[in-house]
Amino acid sequence: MSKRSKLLSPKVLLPALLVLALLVALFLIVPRVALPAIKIAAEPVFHIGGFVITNTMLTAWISMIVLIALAFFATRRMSLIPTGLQNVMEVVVEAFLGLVENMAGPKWARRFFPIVMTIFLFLLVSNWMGMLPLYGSIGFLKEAHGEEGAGYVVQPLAGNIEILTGNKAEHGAAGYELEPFLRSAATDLNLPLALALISVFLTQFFGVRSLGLRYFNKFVSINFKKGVFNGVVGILVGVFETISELAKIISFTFRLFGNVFAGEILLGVLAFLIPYVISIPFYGLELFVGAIQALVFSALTLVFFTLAVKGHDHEEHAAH
Amino acid sequence: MDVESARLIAAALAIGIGAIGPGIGIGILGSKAMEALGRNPEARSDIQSNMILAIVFTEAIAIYALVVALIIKFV
Repeated sequence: MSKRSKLLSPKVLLPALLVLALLVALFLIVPRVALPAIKIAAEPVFHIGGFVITNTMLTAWISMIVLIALAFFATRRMSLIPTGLQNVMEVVVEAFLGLVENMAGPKWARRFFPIVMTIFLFLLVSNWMGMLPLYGSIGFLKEAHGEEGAGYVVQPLAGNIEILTGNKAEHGAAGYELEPFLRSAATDLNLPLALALISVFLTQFFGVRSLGLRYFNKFVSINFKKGVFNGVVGILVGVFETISELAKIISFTFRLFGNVFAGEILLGVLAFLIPYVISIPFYGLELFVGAIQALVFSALTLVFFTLAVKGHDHEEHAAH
Repeated sequence: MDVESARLIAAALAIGIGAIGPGIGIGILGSKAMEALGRNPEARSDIQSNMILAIVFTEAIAIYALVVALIIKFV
């Protein structure tokens, strides 16, 4: 049988036509989705006294609760031959410990492991939980400010609950937008910044732990013994190292923030453009990106820790 | 040209031009990694982890451009 007739046979043609008809029906019949209101700053949910609790703070706490619950349930009634949840967690912990020992050497691996593993697990859980159904879809409906006709029409569902439809508000009608209760934690600039600051400060701490105060010779190296030119070059290298440390804070922050925030916007805008269908492959991409960003943050932290304790003369320039 | 139009064009240019460099960079990284893998298939895990590390650094530059575009558009 030639290839052409196989493709046009009823067995292939009928399901294909069915899927096509389904897609056309989707665009014509099924309700449209509203474009999400994209704000860089996190929206407040409630206040405790004068302290504002934002939606990203809530999700960070939820991730912490999930991790603590996971740790609790994995470690009670521990047995020497692990089963169930303890087994799964042991696989994850052992794999990562292997990575850390490979990179940092046996002496420092156990010291670096807690913080690196914590950063990895926390970012993994919070990035992946940010893609669950409730995140970003349930919240307050606020009046939309901004350009003319920026909001969407609201439809009452039951009692106080209303649904944001996909129809733009005409001139005169009140336009609304959604301020979600829960929003993926790393989409708030504060969380990546906090983790980056922790990471860089711990680098300095481990450097001092390993080399004593000689660690700061990396930044301030005034040594004119080899001549004036080499002395000046040494000072400049110290300045560049300082700038490089500050740049690490910025690059850690924006790498994580940019990836997660852009991923969230991508999913929202795609759902607006082609509802219910296009989001599916991009959910796969987001899962991958969330995991990779968690891994990269913790792996880079580990690399910088390792470089800090090794000392400048052993530094391999290829690793930088 | 009023501010709003300038903002839109600026946001588009920021991410558009900003993604050229990292795109080429990641392509070069990938191709060299494939080459190295072809020459020495036994070093697969070493090559792979180093490639991913380098790609993440390169991608960060594109993310900086994206953040600038987002700030221009939404702040």
